[in-house]
Amino acid sequence: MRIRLRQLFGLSRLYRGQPGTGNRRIGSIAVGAKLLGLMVLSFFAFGTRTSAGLLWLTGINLALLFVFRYGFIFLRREIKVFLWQTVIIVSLYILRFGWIEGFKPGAMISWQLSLTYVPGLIFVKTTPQPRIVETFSAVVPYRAAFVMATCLKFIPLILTEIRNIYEGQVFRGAKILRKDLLNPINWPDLVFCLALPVIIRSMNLAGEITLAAKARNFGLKKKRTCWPGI
Amino acid sequence: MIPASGIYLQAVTCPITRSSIFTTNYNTGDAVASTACKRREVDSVVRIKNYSYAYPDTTQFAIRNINLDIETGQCHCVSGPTGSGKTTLGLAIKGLLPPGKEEGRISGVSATEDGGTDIGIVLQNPEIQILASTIGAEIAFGLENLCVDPAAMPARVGEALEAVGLDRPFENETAHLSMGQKYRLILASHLVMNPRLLILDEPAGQMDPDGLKKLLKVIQALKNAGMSFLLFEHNPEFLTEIIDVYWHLDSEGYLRAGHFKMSVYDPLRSGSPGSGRLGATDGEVVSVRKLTVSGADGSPIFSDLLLRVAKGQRVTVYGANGTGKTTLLRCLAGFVQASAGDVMVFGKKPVPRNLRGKVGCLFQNPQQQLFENTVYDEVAFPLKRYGKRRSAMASKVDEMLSMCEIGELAEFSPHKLSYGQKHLVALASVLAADPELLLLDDPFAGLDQSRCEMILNLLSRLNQEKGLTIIWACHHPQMFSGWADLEFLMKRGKIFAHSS
Amino acid sequence: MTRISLKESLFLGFCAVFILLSRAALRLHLGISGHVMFSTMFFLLIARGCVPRFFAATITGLFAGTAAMALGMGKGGPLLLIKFVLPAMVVDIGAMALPFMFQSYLLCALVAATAASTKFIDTYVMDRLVSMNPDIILQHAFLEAAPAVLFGVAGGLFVPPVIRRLKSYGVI
Repeated sequence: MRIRLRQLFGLSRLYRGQPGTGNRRIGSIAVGAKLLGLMVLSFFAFGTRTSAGLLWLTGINLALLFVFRYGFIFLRREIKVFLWQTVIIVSLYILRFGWIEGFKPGAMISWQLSLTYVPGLIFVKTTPQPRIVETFSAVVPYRAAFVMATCLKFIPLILTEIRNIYEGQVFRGAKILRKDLLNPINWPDLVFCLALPVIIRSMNLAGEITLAAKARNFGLKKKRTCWPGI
Repeated sequence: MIPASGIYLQAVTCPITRSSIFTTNYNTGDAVASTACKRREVDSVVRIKNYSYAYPDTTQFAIRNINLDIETGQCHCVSGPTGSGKTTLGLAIKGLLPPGKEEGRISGVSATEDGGTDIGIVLQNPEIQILASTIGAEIAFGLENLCVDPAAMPARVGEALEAVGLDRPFENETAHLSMGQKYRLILASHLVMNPRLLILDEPAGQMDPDGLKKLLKVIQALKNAGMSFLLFEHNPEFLTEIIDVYWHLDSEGYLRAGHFKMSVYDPLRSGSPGSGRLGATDGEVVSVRKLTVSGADGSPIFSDLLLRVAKGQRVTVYGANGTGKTTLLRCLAGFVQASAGDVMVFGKKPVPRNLRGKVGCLFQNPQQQLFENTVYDEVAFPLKRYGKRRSAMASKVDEMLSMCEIGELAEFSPHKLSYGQKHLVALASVLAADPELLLLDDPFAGLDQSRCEMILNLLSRLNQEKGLTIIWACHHPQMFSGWADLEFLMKRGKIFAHSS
Repeated sequence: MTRISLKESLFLGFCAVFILLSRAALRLHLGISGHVMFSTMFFLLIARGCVPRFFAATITGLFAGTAAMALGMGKGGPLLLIKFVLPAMVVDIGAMALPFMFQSYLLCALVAATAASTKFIDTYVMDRLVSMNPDIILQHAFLEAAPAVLFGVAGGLFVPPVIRRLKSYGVI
C-alpha cells in the first residue's frame, strides 16, 4: 500500500504567497546584469588616467548609490580603509619625489584604486545576500552551490557554538579574553582551546548535514530540479 | 543486560491497526469518519531479520542480531541508554550507514513513484537538518533531489505543511520558527516524499512540553491515516500515548521486546547521596533586580527579572526553548550586558575576567570543550591555568575523576569515549577548579536517566559538602522536580516562582 | 583518487567560513595590517591537512573568496577571489611537493610564508593596473606583504600540533 499525502489529507488548499514559477530566474538575471555592469565600471577605473575621468567615475558611483537609495555613509568603514591606503601611497610618493612632485600623483593613484573597489562594494551592499547566493547557484554546479549556500546558512549556528565553547573555556581558565590575546603568549590557548574544538565540531557538523541531506535523497540523481519560489 | 535501577515490563505488542478513509483532521488528531480498530491482514513496511552491523575499522558489532517487523499504521518505540546503537539501527533501515561489516538482512523497503525509498528518517537535531532559508524551499528540498517537476511542487508542499499543522506561508523564513515548529517542518519535508515509515530519532530530546504535545498530535493523526512510525527515544515516557510496541536496545546492541521503564529520580530516596540539602546559607551569590536584556533587534528577551540566590542554594530555571534561559545565564557570567536593571554576582557587577575561578559554566553539548590528549590532562587544564602546584594538581584530578566515576579512563583520549563519558569528563574539568557558583545550561539533554541521576547525586554531594551554588536551566520541568531549593519558570519574557 | 565527498566539501566550506569569521573579528578588534593572514593561513593549511585532496585548499580559497564577495567583506569586489585563491593554490602545491609537510613546523612555516607572500603579487598587479610608479609599486607591495608573511608564518606554525591532535583523536 502506498500512502499518498493527497489521499491522506484531501485536496491541498492554496497557500498564501504561493510562488509563481520563474521568479527566481528573473531575479538571478537581474542580479547578474547588475554585477556585470558594476564590474565594467570597476574596469573603467583601471584605465582612467585623468582627473576629469576620475571625477566622472566618482559621479557615476555616487549616482548609483543614490539610485539604490543608499547614502555615502554606508561605506564609512571602507572609507577608513581607503584613507589609510591613501596615507601609505601618498607618503611613499612624497618620499620618492618630494612634496610638490609626489603629492598629486600619489593622491590620484589612491583615488583610482578606490574607484576600482567601490563598484564591488556597491554591489554587495545593495544586493540581498540570498539573491547573490541564488545567482551563484544558477551558474555553478548544484553540489558546489549547495555547499556554499549551506555553509553560509549555518554561520549563525556556528557562531552560537563558537560562543558556547569560548565562554565555557574562559571559565575553565583559558586565556582567550580580548585583553589576553594582545599577548602572543596566549595565542596557543586560542588555537587549542577554541580553534581545535571548533574544527572538530565543524567536522561533526559536516557529517550531520551530509546525513540530513542524504536522508532526503541529495545526490541520488545527477541533476535536480528547483523549487519555483524564493 | 538490564540496569538494576530499571523496571522491566512484558512486551506490549498490539496486533491491531487502525484503518481509516484517509481524511485526517490535524486539530482533533482523529481520523474522521469510520476509524475502526479491527483485526485485518496487514502489510509489513519493513522486516529486519538477524541483522548485525559493525562500523568500518571496527570489529565489534554496534547492533547485534536485530529482529524487527513493523506493520502498517504501527508505532514502535526503541528505548535504550545513550550510545546503545539506536541511531545506528535507524540509519541501517534507511540505508545511510557507511559500508561496514553486515550480517542478516533488512527487507520490505521499496521505491516511491519519484524514485526515492519509502522510508523517511528525522534525525536528532532539527537545527542541523534545516538546509534552506524558507519554509517552501525546505520542504521541497527532497522533491528537488528527486527531480520532481517544479510545477507540481507547491501543491505537494502545501499538503505536507497541512499534514503537520504548520499554517505558514511558503516564503516565511525557517530561522524564525520555534524548535517544535522546526521539528514539524522537518517531518513535513519527509512526508512530502510519500514515505510509508517514518523513523524519528530522539523526538523528545530537543523539545519543550508544548512543542512535544503538538508533535504527538501530528503523529497520532498520521498514524490514524496508516503511516508507520519507528521512534528511538531513551525516555519513552513522554510518548506513551502514541506507542503500540515497545522495544529495548541494551548497551550490548541486542534488541529485546518490552517496555523498559526508567526509574524516576527521587531526591529524598534513602541512601542517595543527594538526599540531603544544604539550603540557603549566609551570603548572597546572585542578586538580580529589574533586569531587562534586549536582543539584537532591540526588543526585550525578558524584562524586570527578579532573582536572588543565596550561597549553597540549588536553583532550576525552566522554560520553553527561546524564552531567555541561556541569555540569563550568560548575563550572570558577564557575557551579556543588561539593557536595564542590576546584576550582582558575588556582590559585584559580573565581569568574566574577575569571575574566572569562582564560576564554572557548562553549556549545551559540553563535550565540545574537550581538546586535550588524555582525560587526565583535560581535567588538569583549569588547575594549570589557575597556577596549582603539580602535586596538589595530581591529587585534585584524581579526586575529581573518582568522584565522577571515570578514574579508570584517566589515560584515555577524551575523544574516544562514549557520549555519556565525555559529558562526565567535561563536568569533572569544570568542577576541578572548585567553583563557588555553577551555571548549567541544559548540558545533560540527551543523556539517559540513569546518567542524569548519577550527575544529580554528584552535584548534590558537592552542594552539601562544599556549599556549591547551582543554577540549572532546562526545558523539561519533570526531569528534576523536587531536586532544587528554588524553581523558576521563564515564560513570555518574565520569571515566575514555580515552587519552593 | 575518488571524488571529493559531500562531507569533505562541507568541511572545506566551513574552513572558508572560519577564515571569513576570523577576518571579521580581527578587523573589528585589532586593525593591524596583514594580521588576517594568521587565520587565513591556519585554516587553509588545516583544510589541506584534514582533507588530503589535491585541490582542497584551493576549493576553500574559492569558497572564501566567493563568500567574501557575497558578504561584502574586504575591498576588491570580484578581485577578492584572487586574494584567496592564490595563497590557497600555493598551499596545495606545497602539500603535493612536500608529503610530510603537516608533521613539520619548518615546512608548514615555509609554505605559509610562500603562500602569504602572494599578497605581494596581488598588490603589485593592482598597482601596475592603475599605472603606479614602478619604484613605489615595489615599496608598496613590500609594505603590504611583509606583515602578512609574518602573521602567515605564525598561523602556519600552529598547524602541525593541531593536525597531530586531530589524528590522535581519530577525527582524521
